[in-house]
Parts: sequence; structure tokens; C-alpha cells
Amino acid sequence: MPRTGPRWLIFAAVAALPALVILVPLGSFLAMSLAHAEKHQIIYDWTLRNYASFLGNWTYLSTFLGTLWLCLEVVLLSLIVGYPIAWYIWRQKSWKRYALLQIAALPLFMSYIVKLYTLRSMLGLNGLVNQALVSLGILEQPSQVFLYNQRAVLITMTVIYLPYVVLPIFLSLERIPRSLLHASTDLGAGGWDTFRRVVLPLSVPGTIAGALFAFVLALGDFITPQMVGGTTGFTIGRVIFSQFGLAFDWPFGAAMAAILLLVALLLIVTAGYAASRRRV
Amino acid sequence: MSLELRNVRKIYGPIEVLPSFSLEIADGEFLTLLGPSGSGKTTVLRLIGGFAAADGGAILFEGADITRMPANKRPFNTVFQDYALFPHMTVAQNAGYGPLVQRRDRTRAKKLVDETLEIVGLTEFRDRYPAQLSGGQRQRVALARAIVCEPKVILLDEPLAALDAGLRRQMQLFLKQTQRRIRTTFVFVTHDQDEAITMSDRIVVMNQGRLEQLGTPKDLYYRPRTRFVAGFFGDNNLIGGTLSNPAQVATPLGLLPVAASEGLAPGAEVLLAVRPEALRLGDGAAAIAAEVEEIVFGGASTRLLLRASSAPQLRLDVRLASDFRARIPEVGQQVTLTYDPADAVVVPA
Repeated sequence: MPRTGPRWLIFAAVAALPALVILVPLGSFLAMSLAHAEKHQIIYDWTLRNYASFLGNWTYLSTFLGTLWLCLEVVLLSLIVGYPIAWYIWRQKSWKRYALLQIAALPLFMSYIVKLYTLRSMLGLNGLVNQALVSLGILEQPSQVFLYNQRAVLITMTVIYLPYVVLPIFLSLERIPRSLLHASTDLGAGGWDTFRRVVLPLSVPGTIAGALFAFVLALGDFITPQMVGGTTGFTIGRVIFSQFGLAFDWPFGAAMAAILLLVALLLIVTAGYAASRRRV
Repeated sequence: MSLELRNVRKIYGPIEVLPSFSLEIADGEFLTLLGPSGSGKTTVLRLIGGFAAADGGAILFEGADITRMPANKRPFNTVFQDYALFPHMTVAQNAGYGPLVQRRDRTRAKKLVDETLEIVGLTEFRDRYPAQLSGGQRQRVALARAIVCEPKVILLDEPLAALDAGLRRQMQLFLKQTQRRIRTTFVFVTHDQDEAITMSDRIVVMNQGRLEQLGTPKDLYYRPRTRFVAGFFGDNNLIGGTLSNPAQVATPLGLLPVAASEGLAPGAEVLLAVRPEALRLGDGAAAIAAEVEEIVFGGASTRLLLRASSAPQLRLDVRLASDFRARIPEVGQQVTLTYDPADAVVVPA
């Protein structure tokens, strides 16, 4: 096989950089998760005790499960809000649809921290949300329910990750040939039937992708809970962060991060499998 | 008349695609809209189907005005150019889509689907997905989906364009047979004149948004009335000249006889059209001296390309029925061509 040699070389050369910058840090932190910390010293004794103490401690475990639940809520909410937006943009014609698409994608070009501060000021006691609700007469006086709790984390994450949901859904809608919609109408279907039986099923892959983006991003987010979560908005991301920071127990943090990674990978594989099973 | 277009007008932006188009389509006929791209044939189909709104005129179906009726309410179904099959549905689900969204009775719908799949010969493929089918099979699914609801009219938008030549001929025959079997009006759009001739009861030749000529395939083939139609079917020999009397045309090749020349006064500039297969070697009422330039053996017929002796710029195309023993002239040989005057027509130049 004289020709496979060089090919392998090229592949190896191309793969070397990503391997170096992704796999090596990943490997090192997986190795770290098997170590343990003692008086700010990391001792590599290849133990599973970090994992055992995580799974054996209900406080950690319930925070973890609570975070998973929160991420599911973020996914659900961003789909409820994002799908109609994507659909609406898709229904527009020519320049209008691309203008709207640009607007939908615009937050992606803004700094994450700027968005966070903006949302925090909007959700606050004298923020836009309260002002609007009071002036509309829905609330009698400004409420504190929008900030420094789990709900605030949910709202903020949904807003921040919305573009990641809208764009893949729009793309999958965009891939549906117009002739399919004509065919559906031609056969006697009204708008709702066409949506339910043709548009919705064919946009499932993009919807799965969008949901996955929102879930994985929300799962790893430790800054949003810190900024708007207050004391009740505690997530596993914050716990991991505190292990690396305050507690200085890097191995334990690494173990929890490894579990988080595992969950995310499992989800990506499942979703990828679900999407590939569809014939579109 | 079952379907009628009355002075229908359609404008796309600054372009008037159909200035004023009228057509009557009879019940149960196979009517083909034939024309080059941009002739407006697909626009006519879209107007009938309800996918484009007319800017003027009226469309009538069984006497009722359906000009403004939405597409999903019209009793017509379409076979789309790219088939437009639903990729996430099986063959049976695709075929059953119409009855499903029209809320037909379920047992009746199932029977309709079974019967239709039987007609198009896809019974054993009913649980396959479109991606698992060949081009011809997809074509059949598209047809099944369109005929299952027993529409009054089926609209076909160049449905065979994507198929290769062999499959295409097979599907032409199949479409024609299906149409005869279910006795539904077919309105078929194509730019392929062979396809139009083989399948249609009547053909509408369209050019630049206008109806150029309407007639049976034989009419259009043998009795073109315009220069466009005369030039559109096959490799007609077109010889320019002046009509000197109703039965003769003065041409660079001499005075040539023609059949009737309705509506044309002597002195009119005309084109004499004579089919390659109507020309033969020999002497007769018409006699054209020519030199053989090229001989192409084509199986059933042999094609001769000749240059007229008295007008060297004029090239002639002759089709001779092949016969193993037939004497075929050689390249460079001088021959005399003749034809039966009944086979020659004149059209305005």
C-alpha cells in the first residue's frame, strides 16, 4: 500500500493541532479527576473517591439534578419562543427575511457579559420589565421575583441562548423545498395541516440541533447563575467553579466536570441518533 | 367544455407573461401545452392549479368561475416537475395524503390508496420511502398521489424532464395508458415536441405567451399554420418564396406545387414547408435538383443532407425509409428530389 502512507501522514498532520488543543487538556483534566487534593497539594493516586463522594452526597446530586431540570426548562422555553420566531422569519419574503435573520443573529456578535448586565438591569427592581408591567397595570408595584432566583436564571439563559435555537430551526425550515408546500396545498391541505404534517416533521432535525445547543450551553454556564441567580439560583456549574476557586479542590471539580461532560456527550449522541433516524 | 380560460392575463413584474390567453379544454382529453422555455406554458398550468393569481380574465370550470378559488379547494391535482414527494412519508402515506387532509372516510381512503397503488404498479413498494425508490418509481408515486383523490383534472408540469431517454419513453406510454384507464382530463406541460406528439389528443403550441396553434398532433405535424409551428416539429424543410397562385410558390428552386394555401393571397411572402420524409428521389410534379452532401444511416431511416443546385445556400433534409436492398445515392452525386404536392404546405413568412 504505497499510497496510504502519505495519506495517513497528511491526516495526522491535519489532526495534530486539534488533538493537541482539545484532547490533551481534556485528558489532563480527566486524569486530574482521578487524583485527590490534600492541603492544596494534588496527589495523583488514581482513585475514584471523587466520583464516589459526588454520587454519595445528596446536596451535590440534587444540585446536579436541579441543574439538569433547569436546562430542560431552558430548552423548552427557548423552543416555545424560538420556533415561532424561526417560522415567522422563514415565512417572510426576500429582503425582509434576511433583515430579520440578521437581527436574530445579532446577539451572537455581542459580548456575553454585556448581554448579562443588560438583562440584569432589565429584570431588576427598577428595570424595564417591572416598569412595563407596572405602567400596564399588571403589577401594582415593582416586583423582585424577576431577579436573583432560579427563575431569573431561566429567563436570562433563554434569552441569551435563543439565537442558537432560532438559527438551526430556520435552516431546517429553509431546506424544505417550496414544492412540498405546494404539493400539500394542491392535495387539499389547509395551512394548519401543511404545517403539522409536512413543515413540522421536516424541521425536527434543526429543532433537535437547536435544543441540543441550548441544553449543552446552559449546562456548562456558571456565570449566568452567579450574576442573576442569587442564593436560590445555584447550579452545578457554580459548584464546579467554586471547587476550582474557593475550595481549591481541583480533582473534585474535575470529577464533577467529567460527569457533566459525560451527560452532554450522551445527549449529543442520542440526539444525533434520533435525528439521523429520520428520513429527511 | 369542462375547463375554460377566458382572456387570462398574467404579469410578473415588468414582464407580461400572458397578454390574453384563451383556451377550452374538453372533458377527459389529454391536452399538452407545448412551447420553448419562457413561452408561458407553465404559467398557464400554475393559473389553472391556483398557484398563481390571474391579473385579468377568468378561469371557468364546469361553468363556474374559479379564478379566485384557492388551490386547496380546486378539484385538480398536480404532478410536479421535481415530484415533490414528502420525504418523511412512505409510498402509501404519500399516496394517502390527499384523502387524509380532505378528511375522507378512512376505510374508503384505504381502498382508494390500494387501488391507486395497484394502477401505478407500486403495491409491493408501499412501505418504502421516496429515497429508496428509482426515478421512475418516484414518478409513479407522484402520479398516484395526484390521481388518488379522483380529481377532475390532473396537471402535469414537465414530469418526465428528469428521466433518461429510455425511461422517459416507457413513462410516456404509461402516462397515456393511465389516462385512458381513469378517463381524467390531463393537462400536460412540456418543451419536448416528440413527447407532445406521442401522448396528446390535442396540443397547444405556445410562443411568447400566445397561443400559436391548437390542434391534434397530426394537424400540427402536417398542417402547421405559422412559421413557428412549421419550424418547431422535427427538421422541416422550409423554402422561402412568393405565392404565385393558390397552388404554386415561386422559389429559388423554381415553381413548386403546394396543397391548399388558405387565407393567403397570391403575391404573399411565404415559406413552403415539406417534411424530410415526404421528399423522395425521382421526378414528378415537383423536381428539385440537388447534390448529396452527407449520408447518415439511422436504422429505420437513412438521412440525406443535400444542397440545392440552383440555390446553393439552401440545404435540404431527406429521410428515406431504410431497406437493405435500397439504392442509396453517394456523397457528391447529383439527384432529383420530388414530393407529392399534398404533402407541402405554406405558412406566412
